[in-house]
Amino acid sequence: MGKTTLFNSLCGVHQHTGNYPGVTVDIKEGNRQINDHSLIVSDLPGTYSLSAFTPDEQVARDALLTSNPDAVVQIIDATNIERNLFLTTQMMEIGIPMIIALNMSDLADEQGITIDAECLEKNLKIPVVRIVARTGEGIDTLVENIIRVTGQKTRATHKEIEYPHSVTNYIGEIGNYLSSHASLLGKLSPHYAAIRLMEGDEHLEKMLHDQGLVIPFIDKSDPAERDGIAEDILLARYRTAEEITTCAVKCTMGQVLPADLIDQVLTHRFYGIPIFLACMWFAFQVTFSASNPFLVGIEYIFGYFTELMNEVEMDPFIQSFLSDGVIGGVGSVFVFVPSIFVMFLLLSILEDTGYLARAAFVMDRLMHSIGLHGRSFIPFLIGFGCNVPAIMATRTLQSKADRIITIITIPFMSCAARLPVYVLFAGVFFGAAAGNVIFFLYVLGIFVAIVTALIFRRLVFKDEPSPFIMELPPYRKPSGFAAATHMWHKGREYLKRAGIVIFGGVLLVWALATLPAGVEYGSVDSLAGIIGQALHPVFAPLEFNWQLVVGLIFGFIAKEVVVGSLGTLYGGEEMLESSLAADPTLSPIIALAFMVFVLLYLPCVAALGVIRQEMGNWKWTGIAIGWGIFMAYIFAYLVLHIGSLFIGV
Amino acid sequence: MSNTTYPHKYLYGWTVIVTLTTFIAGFLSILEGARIITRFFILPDIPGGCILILISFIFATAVMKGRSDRPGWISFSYVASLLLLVFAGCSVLIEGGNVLTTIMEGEEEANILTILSPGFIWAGIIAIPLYLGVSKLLYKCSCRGECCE
Repeated sequence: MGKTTLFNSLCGVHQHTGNYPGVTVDIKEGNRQINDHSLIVSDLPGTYSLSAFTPDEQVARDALLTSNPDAVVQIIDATNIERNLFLTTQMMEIGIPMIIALNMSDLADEQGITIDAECLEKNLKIPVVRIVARTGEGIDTLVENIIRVTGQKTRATHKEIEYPHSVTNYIGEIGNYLSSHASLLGKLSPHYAAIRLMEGDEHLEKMLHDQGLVIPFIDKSDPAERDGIAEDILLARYRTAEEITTCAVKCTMGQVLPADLIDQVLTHRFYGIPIFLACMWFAFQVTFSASNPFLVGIEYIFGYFTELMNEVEMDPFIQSFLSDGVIGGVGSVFVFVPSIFVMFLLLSILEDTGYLARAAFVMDRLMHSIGLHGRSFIPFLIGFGCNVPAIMATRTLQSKADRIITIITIPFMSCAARLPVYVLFAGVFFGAAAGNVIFFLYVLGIFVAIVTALIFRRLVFKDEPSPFIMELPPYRKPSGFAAATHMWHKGREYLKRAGIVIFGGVLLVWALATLPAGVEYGSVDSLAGIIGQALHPVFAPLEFNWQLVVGLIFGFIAKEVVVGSLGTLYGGEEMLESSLAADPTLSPIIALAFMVFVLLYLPCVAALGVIRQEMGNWKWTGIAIGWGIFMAYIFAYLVLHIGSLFIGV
Repeated sequence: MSNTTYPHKYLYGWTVIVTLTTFIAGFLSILEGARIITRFFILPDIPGGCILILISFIFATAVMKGRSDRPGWISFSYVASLLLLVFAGCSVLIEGGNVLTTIMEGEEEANILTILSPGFIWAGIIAIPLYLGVSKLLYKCSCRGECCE
């Protein structure tokens, strides 16, 4: 844990980090120039062993085994060395030069864990450096060690694992046999390849088999014996890890840590989920209310510019472009920047404290009962920010069925891009209850994800989800600087999107609202009006007017474009809220049904691209699209007709 | 001090007071939200009231655990008071944002005192001494095992 933080620190970049495992799912590369040394640093997904089960673990394993790195820095959680040493024992046998970075050494000190780094170094024959990746402590020493180790010309010799005699004999015999076929092993040493084969590495066995090499010593007819050998190897590794830990680590405090006591409540079987819901409710209330004054301020500024624009004499076409297209469309999206920033700030704080990882743990029971893997909750949480990295985060799931179900359900997690739609409509039609409405929409998204998972697990993938093991990160006091930096990076992405994709989308809508030449701007005779009217019958049961239909169509480019389109079609930004409120075809319940439709109907183009990439085929991508539209229609219809009984149309 | 006696009796007694205060604040918020009563200076807020009652249940669990399980009392009362204080802070932000918006929109009915109307703030103020006390105990209890001796 802390790999990406160290990577950022080493390369001076700002890759997303999270206070929970599974944030990195592919390889990221960066550079660092130190005097005459030019380092290329790769950030690999985290793994506890080289026996890869999930796609992200496979990425890490393949990189270690095939890319022939000059050195590997293994980040070990200093508060739990033994668990991480298993991977160390595996990597030592590859023969790659290694350095161990003991991260979170400050927390280990706080918890009364004394680590004898020299003892570790001596036993492992690997340089060990104490670091605190968050503060940068020990990084310089680590860099010095990296330069020293990468400069070594000879193959690294680390501690040898002591296997039982029978296993050593097998490894020796297979290793000797493989030595005569070394060219087939790529960058693997015969000794290490022999160990992998004895451990039952089917990937390696198949690779050799495909090249016509059959290992005569591996008796396939006696799987029990092979299992026994694999178990002996496993036990020898664990024993080594335990012996080294016993020698190097001393714990001077009690067994119960403050985190354990806090976890008793936050992960409590009855209180855990209500506490999580309460935290999310407050997060959305604060997002709406605390950002509202900024929103009013920005509206005022845009209103001023629109007035200014209308006073200046210019060509009506250019005036319409600037006032309806740029200010009305793009301005209406920019107005919601404060809400996005506040939401990212709050999510960053929750993440930094370590609470979100507990939330995933708490949700595991619920997730299992609905047929989803507990680990799926992490992509769900990431999905509240943006669906694209969330879909990529499903690579941490082992089973293909778990991945497919999770990918189909992630678009129901309401990403930040949908927030402007909620803030606009909830603010106009629900006033003081806007925060509650926004919270309802987020909960509805989770509910629809649950329904979807249940249906797919019962009808399509009938196997049980695999068990969930997750490392709970330490609790931390949230750092204002870190949270603000995180908020800025995420918010900047939003601004970039607003500047490029959303601007393009909104201009397209403006052009459609203006053409053909001579029609009244944004009228039913414009191209936008014709498209909206053509599709209007499809949405008639939902009582959406044609402007809303056009917003939905172009919202496919990016969800912010929904608001931008409406800003363009309804005129200048200063008019959007009042225009919506005054539109007789709209009402609170229609607004709610519209928000539900926007929540569920389709992910944006970028998310669809990633779904296609991760699914690997169009069949499941098509199912994900179709299912989203179907659920959106059904739920919007239900909300409209059931809700109208209570609120009135 | 035996493991079965009341822990730090003043703090324990304060836990009982905070439990009752939180429950009453939540109950009143719900009644105000449902417009059953309107005479108290407390924010009408049904979801917020439900959260206050949830927190009062966590405090009540702490009180019940305190009779025999001191680390349990500490952990439940610590988390409940921390949640209460964090939510009280959030309530100030929410009401502050609402009042500021009202002022910026030029409405004359803006009343700055409404910032203090959420039940969380009153319950949170009463929970401050408890939070300070149990947070010290939490560290002692977990790291040195002293709270159980």
